[in-house]
Amino acid sequence: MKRILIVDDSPMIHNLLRKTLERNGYEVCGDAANGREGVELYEKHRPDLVFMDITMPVMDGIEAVKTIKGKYPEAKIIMLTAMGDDEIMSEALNAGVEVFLKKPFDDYKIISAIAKVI
Amino acid sequence: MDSRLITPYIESTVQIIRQMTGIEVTELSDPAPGSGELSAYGVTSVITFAGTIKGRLIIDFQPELALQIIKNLMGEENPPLRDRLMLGCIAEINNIIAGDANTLLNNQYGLGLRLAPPMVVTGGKMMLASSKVESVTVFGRTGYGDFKLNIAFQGGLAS
Repeated sequence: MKRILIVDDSPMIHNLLRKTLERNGYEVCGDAANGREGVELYEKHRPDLVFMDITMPVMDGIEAVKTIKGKYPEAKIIMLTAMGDDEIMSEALNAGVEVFLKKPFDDYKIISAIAKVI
Repeated sequence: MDSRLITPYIESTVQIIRQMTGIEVTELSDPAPGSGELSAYGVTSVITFAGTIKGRLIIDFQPELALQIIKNLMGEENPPLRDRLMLGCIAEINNIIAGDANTLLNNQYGLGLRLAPPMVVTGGKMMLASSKVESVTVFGRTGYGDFKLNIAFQGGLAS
């Protein structure tokens, strides 16, 4: 079973995304509330995939992606965020994310994105 | 206030509430200039954003509507309104609405708006005051209760 880490400061997103992933046969191996926790949990669990928000306290998602990709270039990361303008999308893709998704989401959006990455 | 700055927040609110909760907005007032004070319904989320101009979106729900939104989102039969997760739902909806509207404004007008993390306050008879920025208020109605949007900007679009 593929293991997925969720990094988002919203408890609601953790809850909804976990339900979506588990009902589609994925295991959520960790929940991080900010980028720094996300980096720590990535190193601890080495998941198959990360869902990463951008706007978070302590360390934002772009910085966390750069940190993870700097150490683990093989890491697979999907950005899932409320903002989706051209500039921020380009910043995220330049940081190394595989797919950029804008909230809100449904099962189809999430599962289609995962299929492109792992 | 320039309607080009207001309309995206109104349209995103109607669309995101429908998409995420299945709740339809049945009535919307015309935007009215704010007095600098907002008498809150009871479940109020505030999010600020800044780029080439600064702005703020307040979404204020009647408690009955906030509870129905949470119920539809989380599948909870009797959600405790003051629970951290439940209040977080209201904050995240505001975050997604503001993100959606800001995305459109950034792509159309290059405002470079970025969101700060949202906050939620609850309680009866609250008064929110901010006299330093120009704002407009829109009243909305659903089958489960009413809400208000208060949109404020410091600065405007180049004409």
